[in-house]
Amino acid sequence: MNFGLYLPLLAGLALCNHCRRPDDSQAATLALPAAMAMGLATAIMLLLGGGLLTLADSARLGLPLPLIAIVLQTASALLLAGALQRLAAGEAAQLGLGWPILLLNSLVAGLPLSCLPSVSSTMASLFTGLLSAALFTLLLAQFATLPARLQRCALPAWLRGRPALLLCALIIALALHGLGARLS
Amino acid sequence: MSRLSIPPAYTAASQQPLATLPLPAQLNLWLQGSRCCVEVGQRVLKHQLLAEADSEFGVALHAPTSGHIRAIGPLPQALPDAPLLDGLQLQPDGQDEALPLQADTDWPALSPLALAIRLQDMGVMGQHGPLLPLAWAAAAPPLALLIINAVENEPFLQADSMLLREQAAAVAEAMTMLGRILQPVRLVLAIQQEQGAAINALRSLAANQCWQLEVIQAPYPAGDDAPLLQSLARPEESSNSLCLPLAGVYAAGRAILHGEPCISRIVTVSGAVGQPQNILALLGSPVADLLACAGLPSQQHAIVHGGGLRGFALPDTTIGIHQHSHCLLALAAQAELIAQPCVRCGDCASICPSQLQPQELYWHCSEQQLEQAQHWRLADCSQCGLCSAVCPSQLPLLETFRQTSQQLLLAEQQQSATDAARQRHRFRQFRLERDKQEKAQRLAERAAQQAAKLAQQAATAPSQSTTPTASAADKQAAIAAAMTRAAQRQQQRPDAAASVSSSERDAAIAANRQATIDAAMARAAARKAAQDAAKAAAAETSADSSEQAGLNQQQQALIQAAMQRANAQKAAAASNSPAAMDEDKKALIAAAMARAAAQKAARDAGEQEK
Amino acid sequence: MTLVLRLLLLLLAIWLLGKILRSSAQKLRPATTSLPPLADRIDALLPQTQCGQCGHAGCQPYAQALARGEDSINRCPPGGEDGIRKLAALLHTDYLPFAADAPPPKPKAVALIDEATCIGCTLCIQACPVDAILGSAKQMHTVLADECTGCELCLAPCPVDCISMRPATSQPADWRWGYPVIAIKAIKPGSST
Repeated sequence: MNFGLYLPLLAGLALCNHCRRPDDSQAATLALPAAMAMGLATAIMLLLGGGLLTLADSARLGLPLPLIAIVLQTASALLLAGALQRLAAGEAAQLGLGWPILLLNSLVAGLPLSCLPSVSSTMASLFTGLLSAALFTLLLAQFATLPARLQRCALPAWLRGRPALLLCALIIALALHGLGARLS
Repeated sequence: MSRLSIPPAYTAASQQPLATLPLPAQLNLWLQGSRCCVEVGQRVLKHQLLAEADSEFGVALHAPTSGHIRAIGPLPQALPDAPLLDGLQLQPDGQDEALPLQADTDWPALSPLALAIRLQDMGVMGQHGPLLPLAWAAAAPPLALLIINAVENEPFLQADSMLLREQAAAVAEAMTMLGRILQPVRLVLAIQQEQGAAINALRSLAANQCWQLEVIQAPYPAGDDAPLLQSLARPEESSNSLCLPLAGVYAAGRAILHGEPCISRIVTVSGAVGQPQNILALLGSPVADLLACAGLPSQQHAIVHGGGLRGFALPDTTIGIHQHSHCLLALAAQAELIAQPCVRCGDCASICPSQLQPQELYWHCSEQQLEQAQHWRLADCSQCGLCSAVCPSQLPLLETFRQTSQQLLLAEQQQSATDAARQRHRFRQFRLERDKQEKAQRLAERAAQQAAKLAQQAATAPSQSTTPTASAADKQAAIAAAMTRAAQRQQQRPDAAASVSSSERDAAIAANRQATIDAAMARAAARKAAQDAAKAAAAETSADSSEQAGLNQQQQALIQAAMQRANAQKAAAASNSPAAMDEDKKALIAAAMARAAAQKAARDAGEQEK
Repeated sequence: MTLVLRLLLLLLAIWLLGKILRSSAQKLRPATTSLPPLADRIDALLPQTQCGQCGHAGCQPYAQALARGEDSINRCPPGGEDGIRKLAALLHTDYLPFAADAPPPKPKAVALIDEATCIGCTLCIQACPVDAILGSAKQMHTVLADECTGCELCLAPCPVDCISMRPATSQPADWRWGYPVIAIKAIKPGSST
């Protein structure tokens, strides 16, 4: 696993998140807050998962790393989902912070982080997690505002709606792949 | 935009002296907000009243020269796609025979309202309607700041500068007059830095006057009324200040000090004409004459009414000029303007004086999304036209914003009309309900009164026994109550269904009555049969046994005694029943009081024991 | 050290998430709690002509029926297609074209009483839902054009047929800027203008 694969994965994940949002007027007004909330939730899960992984490393459990990472990321996602459900169920539902999507984000964004070869020290892993969460937030915000902007472009009829969004996601993924390949 | 970069074409008209338009062959005057008081074919003299104002927002119209009225009828307006408006066609006879002017010598005694009315009668117009709004003058609030707006920073406009250069003394007189009548705390003549010659003409006059000269540095659209008020008025003055156009003030001075109605104005004719210049023209002069005076352009051109940024093309050159025609432009017909899609260059946003985002606004306006347009603050657009001028895609931004603003205004008016209709409908429903209730109440009251009257009659009549009368009164009251109930029910039914339902009810009542009669007849027949049978049986039994006969006799005696007793009781009740009742009641009350006293005593005793 | 930093960042992220959740809740709550009842919001969108073309006795009963979901949104001709769109947006339903049995929308008009023919029967006054007709028994009646909603309810009761609908008069003040139409000119290849 390297950044050249990881960053496009984030773009795909952001598109996936966007497609899960309901398509009504209330969701449109909350699109940006929802993107920020999801980005922050991902950051929390990555930080939590990474921290637990460091602890597990120091405890020397002797289990294979991918298994520990999967268990810890799942645990952090479910922990956050449970806390949200207890403390702010209504707002979390409005902002689309359900447990399936949290779990998906936690696993897809968190697992590759644990096996990136360039991330050796704990400090580096911490900042990689933070930066990837920030990038993910930016991508989510991008996808939240894209439909309104695409609507104004004189696109051919067959490209309107979902296809245009997919095309944009592809372009972003390619650009991120270039960036990631240079990083790793 | 730096001041140095103003193209010379914009100020070319000010290089030439003021020209006077030769008398046109025909004058086209509009009757906007005014009522015509001349007839077709009538000869009118210069300064004669042609039409008088018929509303608060109209002004009077005077003959610019002597001549004959050719026609009164619809004429094209100087607005794009506007409907025809009633107007006058005056054919000058070339003699220019004038009515004598009557100067108002005691003008310092005029009140603001009297001044406003006089200016309306003299046909002096401001931005909208009469120079001084009548509603404002009638309220006559204390005026903190009066601004005379002589700023012209829209390209090509030169008419006010020319007026100041030519008639500086008359303008100064007019301002002094306004200052004396309106009594503003501060009277300011606002002028633009570029109008150098005009400033020079005024500088010498400005000393020791009640007005001061204010030179505006800011670029277009700083000369509009709203930004001018914003920049010149101190915070405490902003609510009670007034901005008047220079041409109107000059005309007001002529009207009040010399008694001359407003019949002409200075028009800048510029653009691709032979010689750009300012022309003094009579109101109603056709646009074509003005262009001919300045030298018609050789190539194909479009005639634009208004300044270089806000003007609009005129469909017809026979249209006469009016008091707001400060500029006429002949612009060379370029290649047709074909709008391209927005390239998001952001030039419009950076030049917008109201700090709006015209590209976003344009999108929402062209999609007719009024709510979004409001959200992007279309209401703050001053419609200066700068965004249209800089747009590289030649999008019709100004036109779109104008149209959408008006649509918003229309929607607001419609909403208020809708709200008024709703309120009126609700009030009507309330009124109908209230009337219904009042009517029912009236009927009930009348019924109660009737019942009371009957009861009184019964009480006063001594010959009748009490009980039947009381029951009769009860019955009357019950009937009256039933009638009121019926009346209420009838009212509650919709009017349209009333006749149908009443006939139905009549039929039902008739059927009911028939059924009752039938039943009564059946009952009577049955009773008769039973009586017959009983008589037969009695005859048989009396014939059979004497014991039974004796018993029968005993019974009969007992029955008779009982009847006598009852009769006696009834008689006693009839003779002194109220008194007896009273005594009974008294006794009962006394017993109750005694019981209560005993209970209390017992309680007291109990408490004492405790 | 990194663990402490990680913990601090975690707390910061949790605090920020809480802030966002609270602000979004504030954004949503006034929209859901302080709104008037649905029937009133529907009534605010209806044109208030009180004409009864929808089959109800007025705009308010129609709004109540819509709020209960008992009627369709395409039965109000005076509201026009724009009105249907607004209702569809409010009720979260799809846009519907006008019902086939609904009367077609007409341009705005006001009633005009032929004053020479009017016999002063007051029937139209009783029919007018917005009290826009003025007059009394055996006196000539007249319509307040500013208040008339053009519902045509006064036409039927008139025994002498002296009421007619006139299109709302166009005043010079009613002039509007037209929608900017960009002329498209066919340019012949090779010609320069």
